[in-house]
Amino acid sequence: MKLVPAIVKGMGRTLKHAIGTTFGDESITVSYPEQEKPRPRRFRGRHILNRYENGLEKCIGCSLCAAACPADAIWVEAAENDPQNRVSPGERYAARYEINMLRCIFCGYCEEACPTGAVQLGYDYKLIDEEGRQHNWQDRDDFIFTKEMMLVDPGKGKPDPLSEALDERLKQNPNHDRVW
Amino acid sequence: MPDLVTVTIDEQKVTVPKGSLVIEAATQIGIDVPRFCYHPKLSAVGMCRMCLGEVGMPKMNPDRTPALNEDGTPQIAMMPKPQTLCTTQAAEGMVVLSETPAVVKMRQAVLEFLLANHPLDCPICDKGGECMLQDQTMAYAQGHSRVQDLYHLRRDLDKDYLLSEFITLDRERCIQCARCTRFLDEVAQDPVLELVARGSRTMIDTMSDPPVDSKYSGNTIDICPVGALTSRAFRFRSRVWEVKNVPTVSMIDGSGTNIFVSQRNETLIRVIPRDNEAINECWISDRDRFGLEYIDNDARLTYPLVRRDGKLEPATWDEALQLVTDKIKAAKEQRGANSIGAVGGPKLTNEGALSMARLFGDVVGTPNVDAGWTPTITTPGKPPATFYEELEGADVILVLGANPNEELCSLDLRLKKAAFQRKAHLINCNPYKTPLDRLARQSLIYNEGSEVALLNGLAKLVHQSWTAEPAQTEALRNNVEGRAGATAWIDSLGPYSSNRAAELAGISEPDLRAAATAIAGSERLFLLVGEDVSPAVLSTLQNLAALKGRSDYLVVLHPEPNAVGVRRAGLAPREGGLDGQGMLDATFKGNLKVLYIAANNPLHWAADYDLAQRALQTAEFVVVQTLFENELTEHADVVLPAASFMEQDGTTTNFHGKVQNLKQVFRPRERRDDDGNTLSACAPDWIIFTKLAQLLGKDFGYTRVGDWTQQFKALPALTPNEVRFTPVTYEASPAVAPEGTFQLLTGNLLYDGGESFPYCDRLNRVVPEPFVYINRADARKLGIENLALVEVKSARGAVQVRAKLGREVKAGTVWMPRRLRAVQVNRIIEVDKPYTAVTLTKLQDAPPKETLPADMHAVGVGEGTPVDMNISTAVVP
Amino acid sequence: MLSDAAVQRIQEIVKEYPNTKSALVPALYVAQRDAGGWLPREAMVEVAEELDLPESHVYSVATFYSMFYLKPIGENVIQVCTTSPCGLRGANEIVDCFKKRLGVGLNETTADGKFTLMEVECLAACNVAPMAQINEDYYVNITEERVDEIVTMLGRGEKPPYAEFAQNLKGAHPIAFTDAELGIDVSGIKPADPVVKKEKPAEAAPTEAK
Repeated sequence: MKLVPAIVKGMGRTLKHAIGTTFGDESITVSYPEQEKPRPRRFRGRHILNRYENGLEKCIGCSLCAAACPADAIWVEAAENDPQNRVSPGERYAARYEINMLRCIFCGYCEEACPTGAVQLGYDYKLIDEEGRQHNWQDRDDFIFTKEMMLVDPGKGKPDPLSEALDERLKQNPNHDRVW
Repeated sequence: MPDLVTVTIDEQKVTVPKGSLVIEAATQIGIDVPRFCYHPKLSAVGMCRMCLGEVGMPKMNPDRTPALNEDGTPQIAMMPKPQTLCTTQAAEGMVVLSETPAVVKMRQAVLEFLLANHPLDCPICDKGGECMLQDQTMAYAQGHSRVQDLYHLRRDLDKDYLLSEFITLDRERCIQCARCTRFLDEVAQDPVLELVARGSRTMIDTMSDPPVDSKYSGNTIDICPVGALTSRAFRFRSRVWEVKNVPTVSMIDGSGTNIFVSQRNETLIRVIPRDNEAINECWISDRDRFGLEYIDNDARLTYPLVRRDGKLEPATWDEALQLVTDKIKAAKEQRGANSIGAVGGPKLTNEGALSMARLFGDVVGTPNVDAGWTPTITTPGKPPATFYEELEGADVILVLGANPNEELCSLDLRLKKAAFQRKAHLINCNPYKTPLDRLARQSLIYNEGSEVALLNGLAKLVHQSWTAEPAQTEALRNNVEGRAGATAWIDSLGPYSSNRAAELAGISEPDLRAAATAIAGSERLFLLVGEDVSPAVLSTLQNLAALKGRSDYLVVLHPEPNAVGVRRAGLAPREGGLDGQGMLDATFKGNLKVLYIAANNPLHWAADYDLAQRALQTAEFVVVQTLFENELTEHADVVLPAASFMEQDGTTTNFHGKVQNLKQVFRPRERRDDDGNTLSACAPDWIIFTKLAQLLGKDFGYTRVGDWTQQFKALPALTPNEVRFTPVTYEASPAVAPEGTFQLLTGNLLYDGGESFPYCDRLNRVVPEPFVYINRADARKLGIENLALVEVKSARGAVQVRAKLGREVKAGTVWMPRRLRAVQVNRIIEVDKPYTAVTLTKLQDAPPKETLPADMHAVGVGEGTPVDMNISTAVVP
Repeated sequence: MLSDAAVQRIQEIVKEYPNTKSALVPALYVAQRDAGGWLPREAMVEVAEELDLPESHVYSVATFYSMFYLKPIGENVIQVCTTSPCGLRGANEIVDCFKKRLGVGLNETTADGKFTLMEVECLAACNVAPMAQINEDYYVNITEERVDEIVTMLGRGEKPPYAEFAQNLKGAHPIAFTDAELGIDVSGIKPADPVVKKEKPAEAAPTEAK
């Protein structure tokens, strides 16, 4: 008998929305693509690669994302930093960083595995580039996103405590010869 | 049968020989005791304290009977403190607990200290994924550190300290296990790395010049339990779990070293050793580790070249092979098969060599087939199957005319092991000093060319000492009497009294006597001889071996990879045929029209450079099968791109006759168009030869390499040589160089800057500048100082090289590597004379010595705050 | 680099030991004297050659001992012990005092080349802590006032009265071993000027002789 109030409550809510959408201006669907629904804070969309405040890349080419990837979608080739012309702090950077978006299942394991908060699954789900242009899909190769396509400006990443801690750490290391 | 003891480890009983270490016993029953400093091939030092365990011994009553519990089991008295299991010897009744809560806690503490200075930069560390510290930190460490903020004396040191051309050192990662220093001390016998400074500032460093001057330095990278020593060639190329490790055999030298080639996406990432106790144990030389990069190089030939209007132009395989076929057919029809010559090389696989021998011997029908340009000797008979095991058990080893340190790396390590650990009596006979002399009980530096006199003198002494001792006469009788040629041989020894033999050889008579005594009293005598000595020397050695009754303990050392296999496959002159030298002669004289050269280069390896060059110019048609365009291909009419040993399956034979499987690592190198379509590719030698045979009208019917392997294995098996004696007399008078000239000695160098070196970035940097060894006393007379530029001039020609003074050569002789970068001794050597006399002229002073910065080493200055430890001994550009 | 006298002395030392490895420390000591109070790399290389030892081994030994200096040092070397007992008795304050008085940090030499300040581990005189070894003498029970006196006197080229302090040692050896007690005769070898680098003598003949 306890269920009766619950059912009544539930039906009440249904009824409210039914009336609201039918007679009022409440709406459940949005008219995409003119309108878009807001994404939750931890939404897992297209990958982004973060930078430090001074513009250095956070990615160090460690390949741990590739190791964690259940779909084998990530390909990383590392190289050694030239201290005069750094790409990232520390000794190592990613010379190639590619994600095959046809393989990716957007599970977010890469983000979990990343020791520097470099790779994150961003809010974009349309696989568009930085300027919002639609990618030119013609070939399967076009779905391989390169590092340049995924890098974002400093501070554009998702909020993340690890990332912020590393930002602080880098400030204490003016030579940028260490990551941790 | 050694004494056995039974110990109980974690309630499992295990029986091991007395004197074994507990950690070995534990490994035997699958208990993995954590360790850093312990390595089964190195002495145990107990430095890292990681293998601590609780150890107890049976309690004894006062009357020396075992004390028993009430239930009759022996009472165990545990030692009050934990013991390092890597230094504790197993004893009867010992009880070991390797995983109690107390032990785990101790390991936690040990790790806490080890990690005090160790950065947690595993994501960028090349060792990550195969790191013992990483594994054991995961297994035992607690999550936090109480000491990290207090003792970080090394943690902030500069990273990436360049120890040598091959190795980079991250000093803050080092845990001072001393594995690297012990390896170089004990196994490689090149003590060039040492622990410097003390306390928490202890780290490793080198002071040798060039830094870490060892042919085996790369092994320290493998045995480093952390990421302190990492490879500069592999640096950041890939993570270790991303590569595919393909097991194969290195065809760099004659050792037949077992390796894993790590490849990723059809690129060569690195080369690491593959354990094989019968060949290389777990070590490889730097030449194997850093010298195989040439295979993955864009300079490789991927399409055949055909000479049109005097220029080599790309062609299709069909065109090229058809042209070769036509030329061979034409030459055969016009002048007979004898006008065709074929020379293979020791870099061919067994299958390649066999198919080549069948093609030219059976299909073309020419007797002119060989595997090299100079005559070499081969092992008579069959060496023991367990060669190294028996070598290590030898009590006397005689090495003659060979320098394993520069020629056969795995043998070098085994000889060092035999001499150093097993205390074998090593007699090193050479016309010049070699690194092995440091370990040899006796080093006999004889006059070049007097080997026969030396060995006959030895044999006579051995024979005499046996006749003098009645106890040994029976052995002598068994070995000598009734054997073929024995009497004649004993008679022939007559003139070789010890005094005369010593005088002829230029060594002291007591030395000769001591060597003879050792040989006479030996139970297991190994005779190892370099491949360049004359057949007469081989015969005298055979006599010596026969005297000891073991003909199979005489082994010829071939520095080249498949020297034994290619000869066994039939790359040797047939009845009435010419050898390599003869073919060059005949080509020059115009008797040989078509020359087919596979995996070999007469310009580098023929005794006479000029003859080789003229022969190549005179030849009507030259086919070269090779990996790269080089000096030789300039003379070729057709160049066929061959696949390297990593690009094919097959087998190879090492110097002591062991046949091992090669496994294909890469696809044969290809040339592709922009869309990734294959245009052409190089091909394994056996495919080229099989195809040529088809075109010449004979289909072997072999489509797989396995067919050829089967054929190779079906060749008549090698049999131990029969014990017999051949009288050999020494005719030549001892070489005395005319006044003012020096006798030129030559030998092999491992880093000779040869054909593949320009394509191996790291290895090419350690190739020395061309040099000549001159005796210090001679140099003083001529006013030549160390590193001065000198001209070495013979009747034939001259080369300019740097002088290196020392005691490597006797007075009156100079030594030059056969080939070093562009300097080739075969341009000045006089082939028709017993030796080449050269004169030395100083051209230029030595370059000014770079003054070393004063504060180069700043480590040990007092013991204060972290000092600037940016030591730059090993400044490498 | 090494003078003939030094090479000869090293060869004599070698004869006193069963193997050359044992002769390494005294040989390095002679080389240090000869090379101007510290051990340049060339000197270590030459010692290695003389004793037929690997260069790296010589380097390893030279870095281990705090009385071999791998950098040029001042006329007076002040080595203050800061191991636990001395530390408990205020050695760190003494070090600070020296630093302030000399105006240099640890392992640094004063601009006039007179003093080098170092921190060392236990010198086995814990009963008279805090203490310091200055050149080859022990100065014990150092107080902050004494620091000034010691530095002033050394600066004037005088020897502070170390024996007076040493009376407190009560049976312990009052000073470090002298060269004579060590059996190392360096009388023939004059300490060179530590600052001016010596020129290499022409082709040292003794190297040939061995």
